[in-house]
Amino acid sequence: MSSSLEKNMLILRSSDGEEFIVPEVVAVMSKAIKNMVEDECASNTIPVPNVDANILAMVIEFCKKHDESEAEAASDLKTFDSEFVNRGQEALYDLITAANFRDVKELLDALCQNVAEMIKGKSVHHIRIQFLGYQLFEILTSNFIWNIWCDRDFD
Amino acid sequence: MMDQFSKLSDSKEKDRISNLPDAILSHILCFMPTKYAARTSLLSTRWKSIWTSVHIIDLDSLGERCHNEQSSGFMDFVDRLLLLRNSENLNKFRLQCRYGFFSKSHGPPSSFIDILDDDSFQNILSGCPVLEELDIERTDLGDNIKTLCICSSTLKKLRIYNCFVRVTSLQHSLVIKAPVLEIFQLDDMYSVFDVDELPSLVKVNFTIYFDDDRSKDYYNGVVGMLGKISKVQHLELRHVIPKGHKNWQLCLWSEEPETVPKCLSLCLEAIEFSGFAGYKGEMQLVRYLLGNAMVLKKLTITSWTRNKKIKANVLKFPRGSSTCQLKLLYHSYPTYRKAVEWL
Repeated sequence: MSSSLEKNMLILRSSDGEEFIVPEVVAVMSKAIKNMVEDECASNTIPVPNVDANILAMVIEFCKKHDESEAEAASDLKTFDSEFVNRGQEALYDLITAANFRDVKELLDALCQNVAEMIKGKSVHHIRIQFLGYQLFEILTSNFIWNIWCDRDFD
Repeated sequence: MMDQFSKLSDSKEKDRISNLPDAILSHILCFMPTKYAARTSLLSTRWKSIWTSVHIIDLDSLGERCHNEQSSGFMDFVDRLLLLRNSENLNKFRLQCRYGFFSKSHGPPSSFIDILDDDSFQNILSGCPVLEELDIERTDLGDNIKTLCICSSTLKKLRIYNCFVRVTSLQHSLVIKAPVLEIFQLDDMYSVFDVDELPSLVKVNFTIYFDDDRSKDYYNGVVGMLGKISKVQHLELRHVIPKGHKNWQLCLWSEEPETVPKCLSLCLEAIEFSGFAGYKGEMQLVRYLLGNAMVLKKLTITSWTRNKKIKANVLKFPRGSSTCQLKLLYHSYPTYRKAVEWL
């Protein structure tokens, strides 16, 4: 470990080259990183390929909160989780992929639970609209109007 | 028209969720009842068979209308589910059901076919040779189980909630033979316990009920249970005071047990007693526990009362362990806010 770095700190480098200094206890919440640290094949800088700085920052934020608040009330953490995972599909996709790839179980579960809430108890039509965003809905309705318009023309 | 197609394909790319790998989609479906997971098969070809590889089964017939044809609808669903399932692993199985379904054609509508009895429950258990966690919740005596027998050589975590709405004259009993059980949570109002030695148990949470309705066997069962848990380090007791019993003198036992349970003298390090109201029997129990727990490090009592006299008395009890720390908290019932120091 380099001398300039405080003890028990690791540097994580995102796919786009940005570096984050993170306490080891937080970093090893990712099982993939934990394995690297345990096998001592990690230098002080650990590359995190496939995860860009934006997403990596979010993942670190989540892990930090979960590491700090072990003693805190479970309900506080739950509120944090539900706010944390409440994001657009693009971010959800990237976060899930990162959590899966880096093996961060708590994050993956929180995210999957969130997607599950989008599905649970909803009609197929409703889920489709949610997954495809409102675009498809717009297309279908515009198509419908277009059809009517065509029909009228042929008359 | 072309425009519209390209728009459509654009929007397909926007559906990022469906583009996740199979394993993750199947993990997502773990967080919901099987009924809803099955419904996703209609979403698109991508989702058609994802639900068949989910590692859990979570069935709930309570939400279904159980009368007549509807109940067979539920059974059909279960049959089809078992046929279509594509995964050999099953990590969790949850079944919530009425104890019986109304029969379609036989007899008056009030007669129901009981689906669970002592034997059929045994069959379920013996069909799970690697079961580690079991959670049983019975809220009505309508099932046919008289003796709930839990015999499993692999079970590590057990939670039993046996609180009935109706009281019948039938004496229910609970038999437990689980040699590797580690965590045991019991909330039982009526049963008589027949528990084998639980040598691996380390954490226990008992909810106990003491009022005039309880038989002597019940009291003895609860105390006797302490004798079976030889290695427990952490004991949680929760006392529930029934409504309308404000003035009775709670009597826990007529005589203290002859031999001190092994767990008290050898390994019990932490006791948490909640729902404490300062009744005679509770004081007796606390006195007994404090006096006989030789290696106790911490006793936490969460109380509904702030009575100073009771506190003074508790503090005066002789302690078997010189390093025992006593913590008294006040918790104003029924507001479930954080407990505060009992001053």
